[in-house]
Amino acid sequence: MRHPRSMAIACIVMGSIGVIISALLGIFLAPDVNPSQWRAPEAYRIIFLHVPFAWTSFLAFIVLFIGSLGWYLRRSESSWRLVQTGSDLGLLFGFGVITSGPIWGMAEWGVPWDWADLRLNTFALLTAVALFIVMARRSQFDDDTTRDTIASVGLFGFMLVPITAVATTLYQKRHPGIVIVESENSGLDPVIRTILLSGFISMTFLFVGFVMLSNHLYAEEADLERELKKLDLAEEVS
Amino acid sequence: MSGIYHLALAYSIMIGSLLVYGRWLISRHRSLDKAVASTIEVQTPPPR
Repeated sequence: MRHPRSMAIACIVMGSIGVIISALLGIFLAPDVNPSQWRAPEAYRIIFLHVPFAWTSFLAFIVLFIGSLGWYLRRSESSWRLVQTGSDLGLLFGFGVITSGPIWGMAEWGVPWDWADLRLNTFALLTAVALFIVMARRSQFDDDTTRDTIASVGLFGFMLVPITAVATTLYQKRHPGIVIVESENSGLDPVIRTILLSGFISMTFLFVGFVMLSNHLYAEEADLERELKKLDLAEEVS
Repeated sequence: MSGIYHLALAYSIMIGSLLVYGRWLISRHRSLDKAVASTIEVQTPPPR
């Protein structure tokens, strides 16, 4: 099992370097926006990490969904590991999005949150689902009943992903529209688009590395748990 | 400062959260190695 661990670490190192480069490019290379049209023109650079974080959080929720579905269909340990990893990473990337977004909102809108905006609120709910799953896993006894409950919450949470993803197209209140897809409204500068794409590719490498390493650790921890139970049983018998 | 402090705060939180998660994985990795080593020690029968 040495090979997957080395591959995971390679992905994490490459992804981390890419994320740092993308952040630096976002700060120093990305063009300025028109200061007369924006209240906080420098704060717009938050998008160079905020948008890749948001995309990656959707990848994490997809992992959570696949794991939850797999647990229901096959009750396999590998599916449960995906639930564990998907919820951890959903919380990590979701947390990054729901903290950096309001910081930008505070600078640009003057208020951190808009309770009438569909995307903001469904995304916050999605992150709350990941938080609930992580806390439930840590606080509840690990048996099939608990796993069934957690997997059902994971399946419910995934329903929010398409709603959140298309919220800016179908029901746009305040959150800016989709930035990468070419449209009449976007008119995105090619440099900005290139930096965003490099951020997304880097974050995906980081995400893949995290998934591989996390799954590997959860698998080894479960093996160790089984070995310890065997030892306890052997001690009881003797 | 046209949002420069907001930018610094947001970047610190996002990169910081990635670092915290990475450190958590490393600490789990280390404690797992220690636990595996002590389990092997318990399982190994004493020399006769």
